[in-house]
Amino acid sequence: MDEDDLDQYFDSKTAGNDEDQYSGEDSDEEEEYPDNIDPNYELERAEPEFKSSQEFSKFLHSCEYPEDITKHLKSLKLFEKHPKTGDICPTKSLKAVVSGFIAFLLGTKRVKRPVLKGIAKLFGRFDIFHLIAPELVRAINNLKSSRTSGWFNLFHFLSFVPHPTDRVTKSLFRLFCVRSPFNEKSMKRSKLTWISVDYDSVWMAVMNGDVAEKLSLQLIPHVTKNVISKLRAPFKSADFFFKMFDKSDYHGILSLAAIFRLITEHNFEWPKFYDKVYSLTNPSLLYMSQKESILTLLDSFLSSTHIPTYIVASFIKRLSRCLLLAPIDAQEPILGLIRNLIIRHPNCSELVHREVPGTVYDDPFDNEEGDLHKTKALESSLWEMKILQCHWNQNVRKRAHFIDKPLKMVESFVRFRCPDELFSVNMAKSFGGEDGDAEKYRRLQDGDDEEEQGGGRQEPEKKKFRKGGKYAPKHEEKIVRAVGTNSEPPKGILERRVPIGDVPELWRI
Amino acid sequence: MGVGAKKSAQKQKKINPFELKFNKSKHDILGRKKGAQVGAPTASRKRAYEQREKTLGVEYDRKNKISKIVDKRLGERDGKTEEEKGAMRFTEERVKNYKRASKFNLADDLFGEGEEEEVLTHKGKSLSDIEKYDKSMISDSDDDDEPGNLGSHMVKVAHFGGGEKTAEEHVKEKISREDMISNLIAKTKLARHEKQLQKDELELMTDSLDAKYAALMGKMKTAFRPTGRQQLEKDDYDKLAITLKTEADARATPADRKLSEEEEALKEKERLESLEAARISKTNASFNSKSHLSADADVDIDAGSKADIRKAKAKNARFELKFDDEGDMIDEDGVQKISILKKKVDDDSDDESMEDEFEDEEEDLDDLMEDEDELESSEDEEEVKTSKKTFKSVKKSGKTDDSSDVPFVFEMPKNYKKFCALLEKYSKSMELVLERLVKCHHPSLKEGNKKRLNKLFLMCLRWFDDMAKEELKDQTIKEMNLAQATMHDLMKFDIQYGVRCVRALVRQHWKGRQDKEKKSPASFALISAIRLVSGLFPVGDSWHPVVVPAFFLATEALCSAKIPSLNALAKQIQLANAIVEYVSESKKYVPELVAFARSALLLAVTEKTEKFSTNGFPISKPHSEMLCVKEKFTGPLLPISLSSVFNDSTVPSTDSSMQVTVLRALISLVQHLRVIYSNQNDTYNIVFQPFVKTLSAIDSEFLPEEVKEELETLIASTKAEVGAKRRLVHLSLIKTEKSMLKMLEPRFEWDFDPERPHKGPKDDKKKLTKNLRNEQRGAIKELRKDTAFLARKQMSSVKSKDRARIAATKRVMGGLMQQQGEWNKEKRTNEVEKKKTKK
Repeated sequence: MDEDDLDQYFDSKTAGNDEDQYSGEDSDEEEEYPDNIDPNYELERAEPEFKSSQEFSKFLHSCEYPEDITKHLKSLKLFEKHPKTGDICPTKSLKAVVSGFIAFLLGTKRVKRPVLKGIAKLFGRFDIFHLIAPELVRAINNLKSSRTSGWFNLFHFLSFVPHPTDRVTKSLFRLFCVRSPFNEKSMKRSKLTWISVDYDSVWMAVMNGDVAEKLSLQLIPHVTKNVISKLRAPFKSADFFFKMFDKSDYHGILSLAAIFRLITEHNFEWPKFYDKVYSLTNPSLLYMSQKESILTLLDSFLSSTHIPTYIVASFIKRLSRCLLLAPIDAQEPILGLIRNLIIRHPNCSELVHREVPGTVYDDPFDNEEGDLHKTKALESSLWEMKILQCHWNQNVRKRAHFIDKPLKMVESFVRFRCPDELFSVNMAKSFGGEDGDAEKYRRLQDGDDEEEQGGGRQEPEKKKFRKGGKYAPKHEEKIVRAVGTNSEPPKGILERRVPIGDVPELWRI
Repeated sequence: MGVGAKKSAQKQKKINPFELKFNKSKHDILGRKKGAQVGAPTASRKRAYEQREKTLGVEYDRKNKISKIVDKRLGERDGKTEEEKGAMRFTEERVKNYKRASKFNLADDLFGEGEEEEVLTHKGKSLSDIEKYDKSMISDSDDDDEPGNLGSHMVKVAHFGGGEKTAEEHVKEKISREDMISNLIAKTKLARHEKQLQKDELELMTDSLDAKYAALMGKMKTAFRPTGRQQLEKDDYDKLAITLKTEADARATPADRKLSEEEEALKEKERLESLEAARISKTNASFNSKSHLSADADVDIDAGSKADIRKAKAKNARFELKFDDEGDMIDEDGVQKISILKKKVDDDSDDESMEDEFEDEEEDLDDLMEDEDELESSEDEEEVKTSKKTFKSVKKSGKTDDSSDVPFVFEMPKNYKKFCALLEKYSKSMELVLERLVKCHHPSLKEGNKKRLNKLFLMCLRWFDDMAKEELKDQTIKEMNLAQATMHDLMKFDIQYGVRCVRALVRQHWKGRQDKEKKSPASFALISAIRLVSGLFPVGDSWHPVVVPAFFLATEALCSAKIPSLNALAKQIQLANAIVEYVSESKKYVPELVAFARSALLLAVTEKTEKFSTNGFPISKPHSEMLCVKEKFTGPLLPISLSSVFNDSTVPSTDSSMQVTVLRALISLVQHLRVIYSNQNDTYNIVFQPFVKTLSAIDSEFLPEEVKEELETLIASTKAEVGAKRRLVHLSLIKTEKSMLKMLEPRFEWDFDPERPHKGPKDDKKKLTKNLRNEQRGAIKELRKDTAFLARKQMSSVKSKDRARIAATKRVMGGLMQQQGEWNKEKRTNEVEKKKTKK
């Protein structure tokens, strides 16, 4: 089956349909009884044949267009009068639809995200979602973390269900029947409330559920970004984040971001926050592929000027210790962060400059100490920068020299650049005498495509130069980087050895 | 004073108003100084005149009248008594009187008692002597005498013309006066001539005498002690010393001048060519009988259809003969044609490669090679014939692989394939081939040779890379070393191009690592590329277009690779060693290297002392302890075989010998790091403390003795170093003395006037220069006035003298005229009286 193409089609169709439906029904909050149909007839007619939940979930998998689903729903009797109370309640066929949908969603088959977007436009509507929610909560509680596909389906589906404060969806059942429990006045009055309760309950169920390992990395940022602030009791989600905390360093950092949000936006109280962050800050974090996001998070955690000095000092020391082991792409942003921290917290300038330099034996700073009070960071100095001033990369060397200069007054942002970008920046540097000129000329001639690759710090300079603004340099500084070569002929490829003591022969061909 | 002032004031007031001069100003300009409004020019002129009269005038008057009063009275200065003075004066007076009286005493003899007879002299000789002399002279040559010194007879006749005339005299008298005078003239002329002759004779005589004297002196010289500067006999040493002294700045011209680079290259090439010609002739001779030409020679002739080869050919007639014998019909015309074609193609390729240089630099080594190959493909068509033959002959020539048989002159191979073929052919003497290839194409020899050498560089680099990718053997390493050496030689011709090529290689490796090989450990090609960079370029530079990208490549490969096995770890350690080579001299800090070493060491520890390890290292149990030696290893400790590590031969990763050797390599790596960073006083402890911890945690129970010892020395030395560097001093900004801004006291001008120019720092100088100028002008004016005054003064004195003279003349003339008048008057009266008396 050529799934991709169909999905694509499905998706676009759905979108089109929605538009039509919305435009048709936007204004009709009031009941519109078609004249020729008795509203009660629907409720009283006999229940037609309906698909069992398994059948329905299969049917959903095979559906290509949303019309198919609506057609099927149309063929069903959805609501009936409760024989005893006389209330309008869902029929068995509707219940089958609901459970079938849940089976579809939490099944073993992975559904593509765009398809789920289309489905969410039907099943995410408030009325049917109200029916789905309790069932779904129950199902989620039983869902095991090994069912990765189910978790992903669920996550994607839920991410397309809007919170009523964002957008109130249209009623689905209005398309098929005139009378539904949702038309009742009691329900209508507190519509927003119960919709958001549904939303809450489902998300809380997800968070309390046994989330699949792989999903959690996506789930945490999503919850942090989109869900927390919508929940009626955001602090309840903290349990989830604490749970995530121990999974790995990266999970820890991500969940800390969420907790940070809780703290800053929802008055959540958690005094140990910085201790946690501190314990997570270690050099192996900087070898992860997600180091960019980690660095941004660290930056935002430490952005407040109200953090106690001892905490900041500990962080500065810890980060500079990390730098001694950090790969090249992490060096510059962290150096920038450290400098910014010192600028932000003038009390920490003790680390860089003391009026009366004292003499100590061994660095007083205790890297192993977990308690921020006891790290003795403030008694220490940033000696780490001294060795970074000998770093193999020129830019890092330059940055590390900030301790030798008076502090700047204004912080400056250091953009993260991946090693590939750094590499191409270095490759793009012109070199040599005449060739350098030719290079410049050529660049001016054929313009932009090169610049994208060059990127980085050179880019704004170039733009400035071309625009020729007020502060633009009158003459471009001509940098002639002489290219050196070795004067003496090289030794053999394997013969080259670093002269050091008596090292035994360790390698042979 | 007061009175004087009053007086002068009165005088001033008395000035005649008509003598005043008023300065009328036409425009009144604010802020400009006005000169004096009223002045009395005559008065001031008069004052100046008077002043000058008092000073300059007096001086003028005294000019040339320098004198002093000398008391010449007798005895006055000698301090004698009055009596003595009187006596002296008396005698003096007497002498004076006596002389005055005796002057007119004609009778000398009368007073001649005791006194010498006064002798009249003329020109210092007594007159009597002169007379005597005169007489003798006359007697010698009776008639000739000095002009005016006429003979007595002549005087007698001419002056006094009287006395009794003899008969002859009468006759003579009849000779007219003219004749006499002409006679006289002739006589004097003759006399003059004689005298001249005499003089000449005298001069001649003197000269000869002088010559004689000189000759005599020459003989006498040895006898006398020489005086004055004498000519010294100079020996060799002196001469040398003198030449050194005098010709110190003269350039020494060496007997064998050092040749310039071009000349040397040319010479070298010529040598090779002549050798080549000799070689070819020899081979031809030996192959003559078989009528088979050496394949090498064939190749060379085919390929080298160049002028220089033809020249060699021309030299060697036999060679040409053989050539024809061979039957490969390449006559002169054909050769010419091909060469022309080639030339054209060469030009094309030159152009294209020029464009290449301006093309995007972002190209891989492969791209570069492809470009080159594309260029060649067009050429290939034209030389299908030759190339075919080349390949044919290559096959034929397997047997002639003797280094003595290597041609001396090579044609640059057209593409990489041919390059490889060439090297294969002379596989035993590749070094020689490459060396000669480089020498034959020295850029100074021919235009376009630089391009060819560039091509050679590229081919060498590709060769290097290909070799690195091949199976690791002694031979490949040798060839790589050779390629590296050749590249180093070629680099000096065109650094830029070499840099570009090596950068392209680095970029290619980088791109490879970016996608497919991201997590795989370093390949031998990568490591050797990194080593090549350190071989060709200075790795200690702060920024270098090749070294820095290579650094990126190396660190990236070190960090990102996954290490699932001992083999991979061994490769990574080899890579780390290459990085250590980079920083061993510059002592630069490589965090990636330290992180690698730390996390690798953790593999040798069962109880992990710390959490940290870089991404690539395994965390889970079986692999995370791959370096823990758990069984006694007994066997010889062999070095790690690179070929087995890199050639993907399946070494069991838990092989204990491998474990031990890799651990050993790791320990040596840490040792290197320790030594390199031992100059970091402040941070040494921070960096190496964790190492000590981990190293001590290594279980050395099953390790062989040597490794155990090495481990212990490492721990001990690191500990010692850590202990020695415990002392730390807090950081403190070194305050640089800022140069203070010059703070000046505000200057208030109480009489501030915006109209007036303000005083500034430069105004003083301005004022001074203005003053100077004014003073100069004033001085010049004064001097001018002085000279005018003097001139006037002189003039007036001259005039007064004139006046006096004129007056005197007038007086005299008046007196004379009066006299004349009186005389005339008397005369007239006399005449009247005479007339009266006559009447």
